[in-house]
Amino acid sequence: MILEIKDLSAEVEQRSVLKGLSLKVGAGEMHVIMGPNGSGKTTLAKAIMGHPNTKITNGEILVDGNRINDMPVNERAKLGIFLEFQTPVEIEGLGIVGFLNSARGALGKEKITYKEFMTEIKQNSESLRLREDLVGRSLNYGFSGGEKKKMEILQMSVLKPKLAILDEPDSGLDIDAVRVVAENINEFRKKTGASILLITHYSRILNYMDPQFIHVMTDGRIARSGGKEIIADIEKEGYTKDE
Amino acid sequence: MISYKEFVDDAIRNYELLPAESNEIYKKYAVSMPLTEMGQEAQPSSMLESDIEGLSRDIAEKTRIKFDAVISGNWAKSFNPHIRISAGDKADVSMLENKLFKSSEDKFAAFANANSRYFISIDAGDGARMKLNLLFVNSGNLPAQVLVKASNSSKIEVFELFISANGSGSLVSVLHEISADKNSEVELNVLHNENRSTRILNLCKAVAGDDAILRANFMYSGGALVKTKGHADSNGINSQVDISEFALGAMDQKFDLGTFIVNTKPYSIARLESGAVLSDSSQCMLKGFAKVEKGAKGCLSKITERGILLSKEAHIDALPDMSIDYSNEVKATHSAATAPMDKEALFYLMSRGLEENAARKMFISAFIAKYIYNMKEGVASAVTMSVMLNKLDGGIPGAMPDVTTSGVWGNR
Repeated sequence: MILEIKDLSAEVEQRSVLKGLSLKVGAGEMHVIMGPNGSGKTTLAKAIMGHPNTKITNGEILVDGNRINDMPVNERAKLGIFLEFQTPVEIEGLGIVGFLNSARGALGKEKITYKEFMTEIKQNSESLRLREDLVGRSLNYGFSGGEKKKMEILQMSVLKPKLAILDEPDSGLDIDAVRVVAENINEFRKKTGASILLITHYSRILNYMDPQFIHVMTDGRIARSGGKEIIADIEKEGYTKDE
Repeated sequence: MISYKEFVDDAIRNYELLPAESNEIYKKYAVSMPLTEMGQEAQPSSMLESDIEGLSRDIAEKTRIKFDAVISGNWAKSFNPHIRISAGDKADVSMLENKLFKSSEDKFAAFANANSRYFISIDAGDGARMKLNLLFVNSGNLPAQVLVKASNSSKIEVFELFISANGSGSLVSVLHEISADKNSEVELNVLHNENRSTRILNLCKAVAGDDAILRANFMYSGGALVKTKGHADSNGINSQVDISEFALGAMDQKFDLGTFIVNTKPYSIARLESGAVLSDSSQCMLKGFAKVEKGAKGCLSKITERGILLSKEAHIDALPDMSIDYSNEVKATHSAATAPMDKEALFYLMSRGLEENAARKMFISAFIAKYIYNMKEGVASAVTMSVMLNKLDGGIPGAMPDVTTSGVWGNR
């Protein structure tokens, strides 16, 4: 899947957040967006997914050349876009297995047997080192911050999108969990060839990953793009030179 | 001992004289239910026995339940020796003496005592185990009393399904009296799915003894007007009482749910979970009141009231309240929250591919499932979920779908 964002401006509650941002993520590529708090990283992720509170005022979002600016959220998901939420919602009473099964059906995934489905969930759960009983509970209800983030990665692995937007998959995780999550994202990418757009504040998770492109975002725009060398620069000087 | 006639005369006097509500706050938040008029309406219906039998078979087929008793306005039959049904005037006099609801304490209890046509007695002897399913067919008017007694170390699970036989306006008044003796376990699951012309008066008094567990789950889908008055007493050392009540309202349905939970003895637990999901111009009052008596050392008292409003015209008044006479080593909490549909949750579900209506239904179903999971008994929960999902799909109150376990199911 090719994602192309052209000169995108967007508002949240009448406040201008994205200010003429352009970005292209090619098929199978991994891009990382870093930037200070309030630079618009999460708003960009939500704009791509179609959050109703994110109002696009200018520019275009194209997927494989087709404009999706006005496409309903679920239709974007059906195209193959997946958003890993920075703060996943808790829904008490909604069982994870039933929810994922419904999502697979809605996305038009090929039918598999219950046994195959449960095996896939179990394998991913083990790989993420999630407690065995968690998948038998309500969606994110009573989960720790780290468990919620891992559950998002589990959903990504089961739903197999073509483009995964990962909004701070490392926030709230301990050192070991950051490595486990990174390894699972790498494995997912290797298996599916999906494109990845990863948003993060910190470089630690990137120690375990191999992104082709690093972008620094400040004040609603891409201020700088390059390779992994940018990370060392940010570690040393922060984001001050991009402001 | 008083005679049945004396008992009824006393009850009639009381329901004509007693005030409808003694709690000053709850007086302001109450749905009016004119008992004098309803007393006149509480007449036997003219439905034939064969019609009721036919309807019962139809419901049994749809729900895949073998009912142990069928009770209608003018006809009742038990198919299980543990369920004894007697007409009001033929009730065992000792039963009247042992009643938990006294006519002098409550106008609505007095009304139910005065008008009950049937006494339904479920009695599990020491150590007994039983699961019972009762079908109540409202064929005009249906006043009944259900007395459940779980003796020491016994376990009873009772499911009561209330339906309407026809489209006429009518009254259902049911008075439950439940006793869970030492070390026993009782689960009462009640689903009201009468037609939208029915007025429902549901009263319940429950008492749990030492080490006893008592669960009562009341689910309301049908009816035009529902009024409840419950009183559950965790009256034994280490006893546990869990009451759950939920209303799924649509059109102009009105629900007035009032439940009083009490911790009387040390280390007792009394919890109330009340909830409502309302659409159109439906209304609901959640009036949970908790009392911790002196001497209830180390007890737990908890009231949780939650609501979702699906339209601007729908309205919920959540009014949890508490009175604590013993403050040392007591855990007591109450909370209430009502909100429209959670837009972030809707976005989350849609981001996983679900179309908006499907996402909305999934979210609401999950909310309802919290209450259905309080029913540990599988048949009751499956039937209740099917009825609720059918109504969410636009089914009118009282519609009875085929029962299915598919759809949105969380995990307990």
